[in-house]
Amino acid sequence: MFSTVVSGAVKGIMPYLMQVEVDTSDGLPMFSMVGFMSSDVREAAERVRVALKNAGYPLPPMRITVNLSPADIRKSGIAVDLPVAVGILTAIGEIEEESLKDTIVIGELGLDGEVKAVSGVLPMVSHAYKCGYKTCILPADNAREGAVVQGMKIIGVESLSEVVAYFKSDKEERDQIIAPTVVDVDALFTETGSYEDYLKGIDFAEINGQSAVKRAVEIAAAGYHHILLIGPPGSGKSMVAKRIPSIMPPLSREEALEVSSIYSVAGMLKKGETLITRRPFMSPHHSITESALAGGGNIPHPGVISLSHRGVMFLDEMAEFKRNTLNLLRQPLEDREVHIARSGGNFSYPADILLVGAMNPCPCGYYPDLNKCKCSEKEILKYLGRISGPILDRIDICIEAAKIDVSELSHGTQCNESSADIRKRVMEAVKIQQKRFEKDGIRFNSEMNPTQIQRYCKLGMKEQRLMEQIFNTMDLSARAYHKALRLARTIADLDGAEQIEARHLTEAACYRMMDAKYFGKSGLAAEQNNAAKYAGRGA
Amino acid sequence: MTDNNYAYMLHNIPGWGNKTLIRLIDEFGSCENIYNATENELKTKVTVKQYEAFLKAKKKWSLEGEYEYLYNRGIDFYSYVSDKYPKRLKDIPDPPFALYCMGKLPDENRPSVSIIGARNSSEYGKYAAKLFGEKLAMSGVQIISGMARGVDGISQQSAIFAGGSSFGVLGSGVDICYPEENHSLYDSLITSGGVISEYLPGTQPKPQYFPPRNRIISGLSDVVLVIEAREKSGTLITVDMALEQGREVFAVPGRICDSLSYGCNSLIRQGAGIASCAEDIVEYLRRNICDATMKIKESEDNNKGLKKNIDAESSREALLNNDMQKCIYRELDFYPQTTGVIFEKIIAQGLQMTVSEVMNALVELCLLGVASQNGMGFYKRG
Repeated sequence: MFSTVVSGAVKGIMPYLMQVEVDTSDGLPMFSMVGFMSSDVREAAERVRVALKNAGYPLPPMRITVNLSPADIRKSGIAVDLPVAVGILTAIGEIEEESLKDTIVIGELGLDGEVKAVSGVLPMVSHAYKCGYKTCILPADNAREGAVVQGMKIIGVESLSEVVAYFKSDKEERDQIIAPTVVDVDALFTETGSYEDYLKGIDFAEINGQSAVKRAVEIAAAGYHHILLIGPPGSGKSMVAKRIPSIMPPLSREEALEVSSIYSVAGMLKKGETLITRRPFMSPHHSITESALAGGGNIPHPGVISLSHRGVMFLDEMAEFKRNTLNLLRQPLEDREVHIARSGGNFSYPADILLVGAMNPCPCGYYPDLNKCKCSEKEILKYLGRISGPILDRIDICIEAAKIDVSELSHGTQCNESSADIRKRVMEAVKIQQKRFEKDGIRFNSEMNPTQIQRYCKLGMKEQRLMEQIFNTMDLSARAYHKALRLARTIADLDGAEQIEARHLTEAACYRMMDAKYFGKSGLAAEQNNAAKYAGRGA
Repeated sequence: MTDNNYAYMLHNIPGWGNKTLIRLIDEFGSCENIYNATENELKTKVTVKQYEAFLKAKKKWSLEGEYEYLYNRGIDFYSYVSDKYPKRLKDIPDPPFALYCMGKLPDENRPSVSIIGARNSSEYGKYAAKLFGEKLAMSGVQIISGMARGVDGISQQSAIFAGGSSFGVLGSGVDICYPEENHSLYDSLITSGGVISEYLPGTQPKPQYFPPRNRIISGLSDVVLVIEAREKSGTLITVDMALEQGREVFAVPGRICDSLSYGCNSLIRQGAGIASCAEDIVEYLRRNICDATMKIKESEDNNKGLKKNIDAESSREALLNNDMQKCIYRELDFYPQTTGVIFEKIIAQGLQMTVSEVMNALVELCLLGVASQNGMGFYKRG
């Protein structure tokens, strides 16, 4: 007898439907699996044999052949146990083929017939739904995840015998045997309490002082500008970074689906979790390898940069990261996705991140407090030089965090602004940007290309003159010009201003000056020459 | 052929140090005599090894060719016995046997002051270096220093910008610019002063070469001015040498809480002159150093000079356009402060200002040229 069961699988994060074909025929008893699979998938045969026996359906003494189609995609790191078991049971007539119509089966088996959770359920189920399937048999632990796909009937099962019982019963009675899992997606997004709950303990209201840094991250969050925090140890850089997701707008439904799909594939959705509705915040240690950051493996596993999609990737002690690892960020920061080429194919993972870097101003951390800092100019330049120019180019805001005074700490909670208040302003600015870029295919000011900058960042005569003055006096590069304009646009949006005004430009310049001085080509030596130049002017 | 040809040859003999050469010169009177001395004469004065090295060098060395090659590279050579050798250096203990020079040597008929200090100086140190370099140069004083990073380089650069002359004494050969980032200063020193070294051209800078060159810095000057120095600092080595050579030492006072001011303040406690304005030094030079041949421009009253620095401050304040700028300018200091700190200070005064307003004002101050930013934080520009 021959049977076909449809299951889902993922290649990278791309889901596809997999036909599990089972044939039983006379001959020497054997169980063989074909269909371009890696050894970990092949092991399913043993599990299925034992699980079937323990569930009370010993394999008949026949020649059993299983084929996983399409045969041109290498199957690796996926679970095919449950569909193979169901396929065999159908082939030997235990389950009627008719009862499998429009149904896909996903799951892993334990030796006792238990159905275990698998990863990648969300993208598989939503793909199956698009392909016209109506019912989905899932491990109970994944049921809520799959139920996010509205319109799909999700049956969460705990054991193989449950599955058999389900398929054996009449169509009308099935729902009484196992009730379909239902999740109210709207409720996930309207449950206001949960979002505020999540913000408890990571609210900006808890940070005293640091007003300039707070202002800078507000602008960063509003325009999705990558930001670099520079400051001595203990100046609260990490504290600020951790709170950035709390002032970003909540994830939209589409965004939540994207993020959840990635986490699902990575196997990082918690048991019973449905959708990720909070912005991701990833903070990799500086010892991270290149493949862990961008994604790695024969069929690449999503890296930290993809796990931060639509959220914040915080690189603490940015100068300590290996140069190669940091340089890996160049392309994702530009394209907002990661392209990974393997012999098995090319993979693209989404990587629309807000990069937040933090570093000390010098190896000892205390520059320019010369009472504490004994680093030579050369050491400082070498330290700063660890962040390569191209990465720096993609960072729009540089802000210095000062050491916090004890007096500020002991004040207790002053009437600091809460994250919710800041978020309100950010969301206003985001709304303005969405309206502006409706037809441009971008979402934020930071994504503007030079043509768009010309269109949306028009300056009046007065502002134009000011801009020239700023650039001449501060010796900024031409590249910095565009960055400053993008930044000024966001500042104006936060201000609710139609036109970019002088005060927006000067503030934007303030964030730009830092890196011109820090990372300028001749750095501190230029500073020295400058000082002398001014002396000459006085003479 | 002059005595210099012989002197250059002797200076090139490996194993013949400065002390040996000076001793020999005292005994023989000129380099030519040393060169032509008989075996018996010379053997009693130097070690066997040194004598062998001398014979070896004598065989290989072309007296005229080598000297001409040096001359063609734009390097002047002055031995201890040549008449152009700086008189100031003749008085000091352990004078250099020879000086290599690109550009000129300091003018004997003009007063000279060396300005020395920390390499990683604070903004205050940079301000003082600039002020003294510029003002002293305008009074006709030559500025001597080590062309190092920080105080040295800034004072020399500003002296040249102010139209004066300045001389750099190097711890390497004169044809090597160290530190490299000072190459523009190096070039302008050659045209508006000179670069001087006692080391053979081509000598790479090494840590042990720097303390000895400091005796030349102090030796070439009438007054040594210290701007910023930590407790343990190379600058203080120069001061010790200056005192040994009988040079007057001035120090710029600093705050008692800054580690970079420790050196200066303790010098003052030990009796160094206080340099509160350039006129203090000009006045000293006029009274004690200058005579009929050595002239210096008539100096103003000391108190006036001191007051000028403060007046300059208020004239800068007059540049400011509005109250907001004035408020923020008052909070600025020579010590860089981050935007956040400046903002907190403003708030502590009870003024209502937003962070963006503070940032705007800071950038405006930078545009006016009264404030500046280095790496982290804004500071006042003097």
